[in-house]
Amino acid sequence: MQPPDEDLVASILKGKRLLFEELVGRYQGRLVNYLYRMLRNEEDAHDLAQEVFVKIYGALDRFDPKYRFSTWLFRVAQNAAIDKIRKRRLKLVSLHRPDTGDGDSGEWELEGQELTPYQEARNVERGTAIKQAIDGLPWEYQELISMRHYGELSYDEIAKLKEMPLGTVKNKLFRGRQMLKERLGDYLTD
Amino acid sequence: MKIESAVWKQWLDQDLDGELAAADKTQLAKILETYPEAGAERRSLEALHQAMDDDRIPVRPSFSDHVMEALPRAWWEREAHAGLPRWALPMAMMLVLALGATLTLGSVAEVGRFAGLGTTIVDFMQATFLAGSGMLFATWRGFGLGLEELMAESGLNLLALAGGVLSLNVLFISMLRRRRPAAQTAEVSGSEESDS
Repeated sequence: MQPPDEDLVASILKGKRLLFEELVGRYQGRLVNYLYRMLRNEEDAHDLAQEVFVKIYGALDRFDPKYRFSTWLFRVAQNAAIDKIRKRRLKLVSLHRPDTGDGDSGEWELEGQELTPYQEARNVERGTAIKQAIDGLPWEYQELISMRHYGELSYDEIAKLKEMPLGTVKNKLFRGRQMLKERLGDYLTD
Repeated sequence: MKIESAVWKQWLDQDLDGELAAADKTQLAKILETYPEAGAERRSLEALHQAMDDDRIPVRPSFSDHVMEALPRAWWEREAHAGLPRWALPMAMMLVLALGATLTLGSVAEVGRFAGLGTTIVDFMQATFLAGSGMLFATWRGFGLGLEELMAESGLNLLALAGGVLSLNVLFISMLRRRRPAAQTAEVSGSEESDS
C-alpha cells in the first residue's frame, strides 16, 4: 500500500529529497493534463507543471497537513495558469481560435489496436471536436470539468479549491457535461 | 415512486464520477431497470467520459527527471543533512578551551583539588566577559588598559582571553553565514536559465 501524500511530505521534510519524485509521479499526468486544458499548449503545460512542482518543493515546509496535498498543488497550479494566461492574453472562449498545440493529431491512437484509416481520421476529427466543445463552454464550466476530469479532483476538493458549495460544484459539472454532450452529438455515438 | 429525469440524470453523472451516495445508488439501479432512456443516457455519458479520457496527452518520459534536477536545495533540507546544529562548533571550541584552561590553571594553582576547577572556570568566564565588554563598551584606551592589566596578571589569563575572543568571532561568523543561502541561489538561477 502506498503511503499517503502527507506522510511523504513529512519524510521529505526530514531530508529524504528523492521521495519528492514519487509525489511528482503521482500527480504529473493529472497536473500536465489539467494545465494543458487551461493553456491549450502541450509545451507550456509541461513547462508550467515543472515550475509548479519546483515552487511546491520550495514551500513544502509551509504545507499544512490538515488540508489535502492535491488541493494545495492544484491551487498553486491554478494560480500559476491564470497568471500565465493573463500574461499571454489568451482568448479563452473563441470556438474558432486556430489550434496552436503541437502534434495533437497523433493523440487518438489507441494502444495495441490497429485502426483503419477511417477510424484514424475519425479520432483526429473527434479530438478536435472535443477541444472545440470544451473551449466553447463558459470559463467556469471549463475550469470545473478540467479539474474533475483531467485533474481527477473529487467534488469535495473542487469545492474547497473554488470556495463553492458542494451542490454548486455538482450542478455545474452536470450542466457542463450536458452542454458538451449536445455539442459533440454524433461524435459520441460510434 | 416517480423520480424526475433531471434528478436521475444528475445521479448518473455523479455515479460515473464515483461520487454518488450509496442510498441514491440503489435507487438509480432501479431506475436503470425501469426506464430504457436512463440506460441510453448512461451510455451517452460513458461515451463522453471515454472520449475525454482518450483526449489526454502523455507526459514527457523525462519529465520527473527534469523536475528533480530543477529542485532548489531548501533550507529545511540543509538543516536535515547538517547533522549537528550550527552553534555546536563554536560551543565545542569554547568547552575545549575552558577544559584546557581548567586543567592547566588547576594544576598550577591547587593540584588535585576540585575547588580549583570551579575557580578556574569562573576566572575564565570573567576573562571572556571582560574581553567581550571591553570590545563593546570600552574606549580604546580603556580596552588597552584592561588588556594590560590582564596580561600583567598572568600569561594564562592572556591565553584564555584570546581563546574567548576567538570563539566569539567564530560564533559571530557562523551566524552571518547562516543568512546567505548560497547553494539555493545557484540552483534557482540555473533553472531560470533553462526556462528562458
